[in-house]
Amino acid sequence: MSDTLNFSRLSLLLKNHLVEHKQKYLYYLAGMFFIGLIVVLLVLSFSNLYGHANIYTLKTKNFYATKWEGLQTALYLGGLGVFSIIFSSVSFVNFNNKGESIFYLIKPASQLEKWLTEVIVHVFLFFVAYTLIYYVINIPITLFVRASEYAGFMEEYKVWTVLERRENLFRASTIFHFSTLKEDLYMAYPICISIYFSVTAFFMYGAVLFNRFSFFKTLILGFLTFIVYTIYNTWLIRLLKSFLMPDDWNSYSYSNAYSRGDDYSFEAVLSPHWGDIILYSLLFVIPVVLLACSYFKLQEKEV
Amino acid sequence: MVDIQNLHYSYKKKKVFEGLTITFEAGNIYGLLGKNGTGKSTLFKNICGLLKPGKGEVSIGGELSKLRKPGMLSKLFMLPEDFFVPSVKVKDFIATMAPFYPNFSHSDFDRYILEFEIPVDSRLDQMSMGQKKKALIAFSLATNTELLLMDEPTNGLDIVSKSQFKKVMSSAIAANKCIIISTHQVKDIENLVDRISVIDNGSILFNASISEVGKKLRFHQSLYPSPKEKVVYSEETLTGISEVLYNESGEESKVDLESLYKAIMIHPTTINNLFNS
Repeated sequence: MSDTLNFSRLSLLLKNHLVEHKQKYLYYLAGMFFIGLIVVLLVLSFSNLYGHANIYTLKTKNFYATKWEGLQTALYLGGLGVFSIIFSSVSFVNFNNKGESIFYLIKPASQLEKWLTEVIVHVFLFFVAYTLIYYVINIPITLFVRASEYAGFMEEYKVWTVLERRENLFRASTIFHFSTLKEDLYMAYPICISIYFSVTAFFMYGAVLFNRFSFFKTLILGFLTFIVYTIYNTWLIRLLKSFLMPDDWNSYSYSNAYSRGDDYSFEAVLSPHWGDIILYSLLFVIPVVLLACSYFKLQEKEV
Repeated sequence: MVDIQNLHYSYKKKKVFEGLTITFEAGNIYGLLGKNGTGKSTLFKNICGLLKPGKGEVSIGGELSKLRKPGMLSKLFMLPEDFFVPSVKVKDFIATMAPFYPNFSHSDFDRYILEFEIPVDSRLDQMSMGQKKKALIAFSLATNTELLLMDEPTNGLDIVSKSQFKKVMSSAIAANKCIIISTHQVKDIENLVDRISVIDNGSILFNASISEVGKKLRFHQSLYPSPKEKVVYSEETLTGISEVLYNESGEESKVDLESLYKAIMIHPTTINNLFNS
């Protein structure tokens, strides 16, 4: 039996984890459902999606259909962000509690298996559970919208689906066309997914890194990281680019330079193929690095 | 079984062990005694690989414990002082935890649970502190791991439970098992342990078997003090004078762990000279 990774031991650990945390996870799922339902109902109540739609005489039915899709997308992605932060911050047990930490660390399984269990539950199973809950709330709400007095638009009011947008994940032009984030949120689905993985991995790392008040410490660390990233993104890159490409780089952002296909853009510097690969790596390398950090930290973890 | 060689360990500001060397053999129940803060729990954590030595090595059955390999972890169980129980029923706990321990015995567990009067349909987290502890003691013994570490196992147990503990523990010892009990409540492990190790200032102050102690020392309770030259340690009690004497007659007496511990702590040189001679 391998000391590093054994699938029967991994499944045993996964089963053990789910049984031990069953109650906590059920509460969490119920909480997600009710908060999600309340938020959707509040959004519907305060939006002019239907009911008051006829006062916007200049707007077409397509506008409303698009708006409903936009709302669904925003709710899905916003909820994913908020709930994933909370859920991933409770990963790797509670290292604040010595007894629980000892109980966890002396379980006869490898550190890789323990880490994989956390990743499977807190990154992938959470994602699936969240998406299912989203559909459980969203499908009846959409049916309700369809059945409203604006039934004439019913064919337009469809359920926004994750699967529908999956092809965007593999299309670099939608990923790096950052301006779409403002225009059509669902077009930015891949960016949001990469942010989801990054944020989840970041909070998982925080959960294993800090012994006490890990959630708040991770929030502060995240805030500091964001500031550093912003400084890096705005000052350093522009400084470097102005040095490398002195012809008024500052007037171009990555997005508009890329989308316009200007000579001073990445497109001009790199071939599209290599540009895609590098940008893709940048997008998904962060969660991978953070997850790897949490694994190594778990290996070093002392109680 | 457990081999600790030249162990150095320190917390941020405090050195705990500086070159500690000791071996714990299978087939024994060790009583690990020492003052508060001398490093008994730290030693347990080093043995389990929960803490990593600054220098030196700790191995269990030849495997380095700091690597926390599953093979090594399945050979040991630790019941810490600040123990934890998950929010599950006893039977669910057994169903998901027992498969990790290849020698786990369900019949042993049922026997211990019956002895401790633990309701198997109850949830662990809803039990009283004593019941939780007894359930974990039953589980730890039923794992039949080669090494069992118990940190203050009788804390929180009532008088009846303490005698149940002694009974269960004495039935659990086997030739391939090594049990180390760290405690301040020496009365609770009397007649149970067969070796005594005393830790002080990060080193082993005393390490001997109970039979060896019985051969070299005599424990005596009387109304009048014995001649000074025969006494290693004496203390006045409500019922008279409790004495630890040199055993010149060779007649074995029942070892009074509390008096022995005090004798070791107050006259370490005398005791060590006696046992090393």
